[in-house]
Amino acid sequence: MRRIIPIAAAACLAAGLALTAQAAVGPGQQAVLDHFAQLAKQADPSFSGFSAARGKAFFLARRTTGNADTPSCSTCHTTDPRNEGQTTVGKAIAPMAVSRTPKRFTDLAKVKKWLRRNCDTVIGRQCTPQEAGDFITFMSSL
Amino acid sequence: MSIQRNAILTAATLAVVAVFGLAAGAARGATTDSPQATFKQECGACHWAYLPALLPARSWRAITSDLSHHFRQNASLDPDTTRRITDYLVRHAADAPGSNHAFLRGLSAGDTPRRITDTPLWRAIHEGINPLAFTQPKVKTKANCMGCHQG
Repeated sequence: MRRIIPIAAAACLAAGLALTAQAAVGPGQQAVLDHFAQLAKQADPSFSGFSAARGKAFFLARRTTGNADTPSCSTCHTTDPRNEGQTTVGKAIAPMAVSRTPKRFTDLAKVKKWLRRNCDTVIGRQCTPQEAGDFITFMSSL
Repeated sequence: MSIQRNAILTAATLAVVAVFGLAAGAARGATTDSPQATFKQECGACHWAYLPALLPARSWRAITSDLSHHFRQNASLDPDTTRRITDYLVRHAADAPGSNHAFLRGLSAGDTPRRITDTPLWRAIHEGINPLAFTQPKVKTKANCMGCHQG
């Protein structure tokens, strides 16, 4: 019986660490991520999940295919999404990182609206479900 | 600086103050689900929610009819929201009944300015301002009215 307690404690600790790593993904973000995961699976049966590292690279990438005023997501959102950003006409943008703005990525219609607009403006095309999910996973990991 | 120019600028400034004053009055009557609130939420997400009386109705229609290409950015909205915002802007435009008509001054009927900064009154008011004032970090662009006009 005594042995069970440390095992249980270790299990709790492991669960706690797992939670810490994903601390910012609340039920709202998870529902939005599930939506994009489903679309990603439809687009590619070998879909194997989202990656914060890929999302970070996507966020920081400099593009030449969209509006030259905004070559990167980071043009407006800064290179650290925990910072407040600024639109091209000087209006403040609340931080994208879920840890700083907990309501981010909880409203699917709003997420789709901004992806539709900003992917077109910055990249000159619509984003794939994989890119959308990686991006949100990165923003939820900070 | 002639006396005449001073008079024009004084008149223009008074007109702008009146336009801004009307906006403040309208804002007090706004509810969270009013067309004005929709306009402020959607358009104001990226830039100052410009007062409708700064452009004629034909300009607002031209702008909202192609939000996918909005000053080189995609600002598209769903059709219902677009219609709601267009109705609000047209109803309170510079040439709408009951509006302050100051920004129609010098504007010919055939002109459909897409930018407030292209209206003759805006140009008259801002004539002589050092161009560097508009690009300083606090302001960034002429489109950022509140970079200078606030506080």
